[in-house]
Amino acid sequence: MAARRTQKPARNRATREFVSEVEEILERMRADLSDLADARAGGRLDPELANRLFRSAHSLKGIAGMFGFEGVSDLAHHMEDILDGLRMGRLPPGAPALALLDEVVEVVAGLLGSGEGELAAGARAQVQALIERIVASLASEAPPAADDDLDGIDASILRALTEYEEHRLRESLRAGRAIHLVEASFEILSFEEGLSELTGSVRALGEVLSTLPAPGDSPDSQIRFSLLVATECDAAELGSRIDLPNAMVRAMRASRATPTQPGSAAPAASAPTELLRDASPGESPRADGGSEIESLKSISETVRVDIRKLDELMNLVGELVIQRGAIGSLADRLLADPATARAGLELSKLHKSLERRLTDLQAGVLEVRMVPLRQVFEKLSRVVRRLRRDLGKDVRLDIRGGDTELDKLIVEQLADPLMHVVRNAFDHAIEPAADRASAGKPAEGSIRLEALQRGNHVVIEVADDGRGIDPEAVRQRAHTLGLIEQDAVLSRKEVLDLIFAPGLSTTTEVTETSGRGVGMDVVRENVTALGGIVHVDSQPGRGTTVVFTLPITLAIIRALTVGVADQRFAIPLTTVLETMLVDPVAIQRSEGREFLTLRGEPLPLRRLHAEFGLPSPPAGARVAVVVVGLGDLRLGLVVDHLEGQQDAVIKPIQGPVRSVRGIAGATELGDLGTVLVLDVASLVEDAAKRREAA
Amino acid sequence: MHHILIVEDSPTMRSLVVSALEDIGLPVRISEASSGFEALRELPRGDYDLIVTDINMPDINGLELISFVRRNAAYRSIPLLIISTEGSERDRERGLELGADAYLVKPFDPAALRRTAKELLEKARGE
Amino acid sequence: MSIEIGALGPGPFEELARSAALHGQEPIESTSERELLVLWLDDDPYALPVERVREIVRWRPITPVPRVPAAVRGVLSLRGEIVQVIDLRLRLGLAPSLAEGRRRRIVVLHGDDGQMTGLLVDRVSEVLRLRDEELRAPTGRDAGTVVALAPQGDRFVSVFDVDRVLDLGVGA
Repeated sequence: MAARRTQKPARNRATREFVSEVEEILERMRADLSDLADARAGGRLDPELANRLFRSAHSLKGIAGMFGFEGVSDLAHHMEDILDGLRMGRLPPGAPALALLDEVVEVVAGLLGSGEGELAAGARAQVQALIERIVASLASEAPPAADDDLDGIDASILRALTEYEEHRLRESLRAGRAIHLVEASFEILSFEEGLSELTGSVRALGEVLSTLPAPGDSPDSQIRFSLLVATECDAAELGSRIDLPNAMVRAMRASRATPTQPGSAAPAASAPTELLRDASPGESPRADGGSEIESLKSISETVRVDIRKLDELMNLVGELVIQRGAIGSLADRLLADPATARAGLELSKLHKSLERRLTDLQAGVLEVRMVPLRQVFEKLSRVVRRLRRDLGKDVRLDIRGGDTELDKLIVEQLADPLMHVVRNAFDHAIEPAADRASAGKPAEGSIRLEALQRGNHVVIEVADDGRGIDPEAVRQRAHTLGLIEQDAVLSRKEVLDLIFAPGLSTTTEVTETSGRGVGMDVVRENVTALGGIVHVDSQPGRGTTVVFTLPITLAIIRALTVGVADQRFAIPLTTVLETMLVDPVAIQRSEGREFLTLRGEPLPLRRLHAEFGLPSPPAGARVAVVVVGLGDLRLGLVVDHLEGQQDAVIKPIQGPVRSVRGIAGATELGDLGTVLVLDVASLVEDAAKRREAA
Repeated sequence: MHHILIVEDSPTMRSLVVSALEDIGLPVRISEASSGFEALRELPRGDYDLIVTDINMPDINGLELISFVRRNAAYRSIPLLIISTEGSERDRERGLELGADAYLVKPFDPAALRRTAKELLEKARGE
Repeated sequence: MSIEIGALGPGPFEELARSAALHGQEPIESTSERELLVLWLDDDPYALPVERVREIVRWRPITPVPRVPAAVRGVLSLRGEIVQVIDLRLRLGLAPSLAEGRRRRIVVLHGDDGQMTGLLVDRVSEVLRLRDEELRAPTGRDAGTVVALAPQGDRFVSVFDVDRVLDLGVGA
């Protein structure tokens, strides 16, 4: 079952979590820094990017402090200073500042790798020297202009600024940015959509310092918001960029044309192309003015949605489907009685059309959750570019099928396993140039990353042309680890499959780039948790291909709900062959085991009461039997009664008990509350084992 | 029945405030908002007798909320109690200037919260 | 293929236990503050670190799960996620609760592996803030669920090691 819990080693989970979170933060910072460097090539600093880096440094500082990594925490604190200087335009976004940040990130990664909370004397000196350089670079910035009084800004707004917001306002003034007030009214019951659209378009041009609500013209139904905005644009320009009919822009402070710091690069303004770059990453802005307008229009037709809102929508659809079921059975009851048959017929027609539209709605919601793999692929491509630069190893990453779409949740969970496999290929599979030459291969190594859709699944392949996996080495290592017997007879495929076993890797070498601290066992674990499978194929000397096969959407299943004692269970309908009501006298016994004669064949029975230690029904009561099958095995599950069919999303059960045999997960079924979903495969297997043992 | 609105983004802190106020010794009904925006949407829905708010929140901050409440004729007379973290003295002072009635510092003593809230509720009823 | 991480420094809880154990034996320089959520079983206060608490919810019906240790009362759904609920009384070997349901709370904890778990307690009261050097070593036997005692007025609050409370000796 897709949702069954996977096992994780208990040892050092807390530290592992910590390490992997810091690595994630560092990875994000590396990517953002590299984007920042690219964007700077256009002569501009993206304020949103600088802001995100600032937040990353802030998170890093917090968690490193918690775990006693004081050196890391100190460095993160100083990174905040640099980044604040950058996003406020106090520091020029030039190569020296970026190089310094790059260096700090790598030093932090090194400190983390050394695994010591307490710094060794050498590392302490290194950190100290770095901090001194940061302090020196910050000291070289121009002193703040004396002119930082707050004249001209509405007192009602100033009074509601927190200390931090006021600091941001003063910093913005010091940086010579203009301060404007953007005002708009909204219906009070639905202000959030409009406001977030407004805020979004303002953020593309500057920074929202404060959002002050006030009663609208008719205070019962309207609310007015005043956004205090720091930007390089003048009020007219800002106004023309905001596509909201009732929004008004008031200038409070004009920007100073010349930045106060001599030598500072052009500050964080947003030319039209910049706006484009913010809104649609990965797409190069077009050069001619005509298509620029077209692109601006296409931005306003796209909405960003929090994935949790989509989850809520999906749950709502689930509840509607349940209610539709109730309407259906009401229609059936009305139809059965001649007195109400006409009304029943009408209701039945309505029910049919409701059913059709609900199916469309459900498909629509699932479709909205689909995102292309491109973003993950681009991240991988950035990583390979960086590795290539840092390690001087000549490797090309070819990407195909970036448009292939998957559920957003699956795409997110896939990033780490893919990253790991690509890094393995880069670090270990591709040989050094000299070895490649003597093997008659081109000097440049190649990694191919390809996605394609196959029915309800997406297949992603990571193929390299490196040295391949030596099956004999894998066998030896598996034997050393006690995974297989020395003389075990295994097919080539079975041997290769051993690389997914815990603790097994074909090299013990640890390099700076192998990162993440996860092995192929964790890759398989993660992919399995998504309901997917991963396998590997390899030709020694020719290369290795890792193939991921994943479901396109989340695990929505049709389930049969049954009652046992005072509990309810859901059984995936794909495993149900038929159901029947059974008079207890029809149940026979052989050697204490119950069975039923079904179409001339004996059907073994298993009472869920006994299986799960629940009270049995009174003797002589009629019971229901759900016939389930797995392969050619059949089993009759005895329950008290059948309740009905539902659409259900199977979710894994979180908590200290890792897995319960016979339970695949749980689902929430509207009024029925939380219902456990049976793992039919393990119930059938257990029954078969019991029969063999007997 | 006294109707209290609690505005606080930390779920832990919110639960503690709710728990403390449930035992206030007056008949109370408690509504919760996890952000300033939620509070703005919640305000027209209930006839509130007391608002308890945090200051540092993600969308609009507590000062902005207080300013809104005091500028709105319908809510102007609702007593306002600030609960904010140690070290934000300046923000608390601002809150009082904007029209909040009292403040408590986190971590707070539940008995002190009950006492202050009760005073504010009874004063509002008496006037 | 993977980094050895076993050599990393101690987690916050090992530190906490060490601070408590070392008290009075050597000067402790740390003045770092801890925030502890105080919760109650009958009239006995216990505490756990606030950073492990994701949220606190009122008591609500719990779906029982078969084939699990008795301390696991079952599962409940929290905004679409299904989490196990452990009855803290049963986990500590105490009799089932007599407290009225109105005050009972489920404290939802972050596990050390990113998983959530609910902890059913009689009630929760407040957050206690104190410094490491105020902690004392527990009076109970070693390797229990309590790692330290924290002073509150004229009495002590027992401080849990969350990971030990959640370790039911099964799975993983």
